[in-house]
Formats: sequence, C-alpha cells, structure tokens
Amino acid sequence: MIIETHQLHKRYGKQTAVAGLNLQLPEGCIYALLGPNGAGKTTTLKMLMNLVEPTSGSGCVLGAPLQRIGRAELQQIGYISENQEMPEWMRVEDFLAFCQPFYPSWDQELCNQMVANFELPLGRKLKELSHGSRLKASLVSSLAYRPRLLVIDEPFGGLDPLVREELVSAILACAGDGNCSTIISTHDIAEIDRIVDRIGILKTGTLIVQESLSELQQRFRRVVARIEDAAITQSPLPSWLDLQVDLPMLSFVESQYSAELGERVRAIYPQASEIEAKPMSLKEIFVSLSKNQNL
Amino acid sequence: MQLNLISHLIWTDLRRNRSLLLFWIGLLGVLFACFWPFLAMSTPQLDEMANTGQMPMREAFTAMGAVAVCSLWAGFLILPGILLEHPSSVSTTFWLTRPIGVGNLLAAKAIVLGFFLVLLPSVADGTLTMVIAHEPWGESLSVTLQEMEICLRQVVFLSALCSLTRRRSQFIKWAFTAYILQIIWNMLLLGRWHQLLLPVWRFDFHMGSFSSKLIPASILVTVGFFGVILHQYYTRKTRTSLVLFVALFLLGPIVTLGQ
Repeated sequence: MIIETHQLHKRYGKQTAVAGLNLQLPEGCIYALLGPNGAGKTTTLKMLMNLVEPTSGSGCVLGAPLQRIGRAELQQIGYISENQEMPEWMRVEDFLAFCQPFYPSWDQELCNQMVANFELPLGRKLKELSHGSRLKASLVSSLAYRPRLLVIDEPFGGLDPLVREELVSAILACAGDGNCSTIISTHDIAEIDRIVDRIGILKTGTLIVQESLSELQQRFRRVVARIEDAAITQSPLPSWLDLQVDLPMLSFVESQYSAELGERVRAIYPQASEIEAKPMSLKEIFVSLSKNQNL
Repeated sequence: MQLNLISHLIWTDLRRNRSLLLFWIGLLGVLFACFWPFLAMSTPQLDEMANTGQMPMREAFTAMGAVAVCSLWAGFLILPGILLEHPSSVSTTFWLTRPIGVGNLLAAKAIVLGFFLVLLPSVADGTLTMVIAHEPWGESLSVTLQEMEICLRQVVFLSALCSLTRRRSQFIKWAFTAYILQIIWNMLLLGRWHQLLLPVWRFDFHMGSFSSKLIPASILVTVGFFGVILHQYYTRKTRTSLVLFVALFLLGPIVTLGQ
C-alpha cells in the first residue's frame, strides 16, 4: 500500500473534522476522495502530508509513519492544492529552476515537454499568471521528478473546461506508467469519474464508502417499479436509499444490487411490476449517498 | 545538511531581497562616506583637533547611534523578508510540501541574517570606533565583538518573534510592541529614562549589558529564544512556541528585579 491509515482522527477543539479514517491506496491506483464541503477531505490530505498532526490514530505514506514524513518521502510526493501559496515573485522558469535541485530524480526533458504542452510563459512571474496557469506551473513542478505519489487537493475549482481537460490528461499521463499513485480530493465528480480506479466518500469526517469504481457502479442501481397502491412511509430495506414514492411508481437507489433484485422487490410488494434497474453514474451514486441520513 | 541546497536557498534569498539588502549596504556606505575625511587624517591631526575642541566625538557617537538605529530598522525590514519567504513555521504552504529540509533552511537563513544583520553592523561599528574615535585596534575589536554579541541576541530575539508570525505587518506590529514594552520596563524597573531619548534597540534585560551579574541569565534567555526558533520550525506547534516565547520575554524583567 502506498497510503494506509488506521482509525485516524482529527479534532479542532470540540469540532471533529475526521473520525476513524481507515484509508488504503494501493500502488499505481488513482483514488478519488469525494465528499461535500466540510466533509474532511482537505484535513485528510493535510494529515497525509504531515501538514496537520492527527489527534489520534496512525498511518503510513510510502512506508513512513505520518509524523515522520520528511525529505526522503517528499522527494517522491507531488502535492498540488487549489489554495497553495506559491513564491509569487518568481518567474516560471526561476520557479522550476528553484525546485529542481531538491529532487534527485528531476527530469528536465519531461519538464520542458510539459512547459511546452501547457504553453506556460517562462518569463512571466507567477503572480501575473491566471489561476489555471499557476496550477499548471505547480503541476509541472510536481510531476517533473516523476513522483511515486501525487496528492491533489481540489484542483478544478475556478478552471475553464480546457484547462480541466489539460490537467486531467497530465494526471493520466503521470499515472499511465503504473509507477505513480494518485489521491485526488474533489467534489467535481464529472471530471474524475473517467480517470479514477478507486473511490472513497467522506461524510462528516467518516469514510462511508471505499471501493473500486467498477465495484461501486456494479452494486448501485436506480430502481423504478410500479407498485399500484401501497402505504410506504420509509425504506423497507437498509440498502434502499433515496426512496421516492409517486404512486403508482416507486423509485429508489439499491446499494446492494444483484440479479435477484426483482424477487426482493416482489417479496416486499407482491403486486410490483415493471421493475427496472438502471446503472448509475458516479455523480448519482455520490448524491444518493450524501443525501442519506442513516450513513 | 547539504551545502549545494543551502547555497541554492541563500542565492534565492539574496535575489528575492536584493533591493532591501543593497539599500542596507548603501546606507552603511553613506555613513562611512560622511566620515571618510577622518579616515584620511593622521593621529597627530586628530589629536590636534581633540586638543582644540574640534574632535568630533559627538559626531562619532551620532554615527554609532545611527548604525544602531539603522540595524534596528534593517532588522525590522530584512528579517521578515528573509524568514517569512519560507513560512515553514506557521502556514501549510507550498514550501512545507517540498523536500527542502528544516536544517538546510535554517542554515541558509542563519548565514544570510548573520552576514547582513550581525557581521555587517558590528564591523561597521568597530570600524567607526577605530576611524572616528581613533581608538586603538584592540579596543575597536572589543567594540566589534561586543556589538556582534548584541546584534546576535537581537537577531535571535526577532527571529523567534518572526517565526511565530505569518505576515510582515504582523511581525512589525509585534516587534514594535515588544520595543515599547522594553522601554517601559527600562523606565519602571531601572529608572532609565534616557532610553526614551536614545533611539537604540537594546533588549538589555536579555543582554546583561548593564550588569555583569545578569550575563549568564541573559545568555540563557538568548539560548531559550534560539530554542523557540528550533521548536517552531521542527514541530510547528505554534501555541507551545508562543508560550515559551512570552515566558522568556517576561523572564528578563523578573531576573532584573531579582538582582
């Protein structure tokens, strides 16, 4: 495992930001950490980068305990954050030249190639760049040494679709050789559902889901059925989420889908007919999970 | 620690703060230029000036006072420029996620600050003593070393304060408050009203320059401030560092009262 945490907690005073986090990121995997605002995504990433000390629990990143992440580990980690402070006074070329000596594995050819692909103006100061270009400069400085782990915190905020596409391509290219694992926190689900392998969903500091995207999409279905008349006040099964009744139609999200779904529905509503189970997008799954009060 | 990384960081700091540092060197240069005529004079000429009441002792003290004032303001401006550029101590920023190494960072900062805020003003003070007051070489060396010690303590104190702040404006506000408190304590505890008139930045409580009995305590306090810097940079536990800092700052007057 590239990242592994055990019962990680973080409290700010009486406020719990992260509660009992058990997160696993296998090697070569792109992991999306999803969650609404305030779910604890940024705090989690900061704990993984040893920027914030956990209140309790433990964890390892690249084999090093969280509190012992030092130079050797940081030489293999690329960290990009939307709100990252950067040396604004530096020109792009100075900035890249500044970063280079800290990384023994710095690949100047790759750096030049990315600068050309992103059309970064080398002679301009970082403070004169747009938000998108600054993020690109940050990405170049974090990918040019071919990191083993890429940690990306809310990268898509305030970016136009073109820049988003460029960022996604760069992340995919980095992960493409299988040596780079990525953990990306975002609520821009539409951008990442085509690149991620594994999903973790945080809700009020607790990881309510952690599995591969394919498994997740396999077990979630939007189910619609005709039930004629039936008195339904609440979900009859815990695996049924987001229950909506508009007689004679019943709609819900089945979070434990299997081929026997029809029989299960009919066991509860014998008069049920026209049972249809549609695959769901990651965004739909995320919304139904986030809305569920029982999780 | 790696020398190539330290020199890389030093070079970055020098480039970043070149205007301020050049201004500081220029200021010291102007000060020297003003007193250049005395440098060209021979000992008999200076003796004659002294005998006829022309010896510019007042000017000499003014010049040395000016160096002290300049080093105060240079400290206020240069120190946050150097230290807050890599705010490893407080904020979770770009720098913390780069493999710079706290040891490398502190070594680079110590070299830049040591040269510009300790070595340069103390050598300037010693040279002025030798040139203007026409003190012998040994005396001038003693003045230089004394000034170096004072500058060092001042830089350590201000660096500890700076490591607890995020912005230059915040640092200046705190440093100025500490300066005012120092003056008030001087007046209340020691009756040193002249501190109001002498525009000299001297943390006497921490320096022991007024009483040799206080020297061990003042050295201890300075080492303590250095400990605050290390604690803050290595652990980033600002609250603990702040408590330590305030305790050390209050220790000065307490020790003075005890004496």
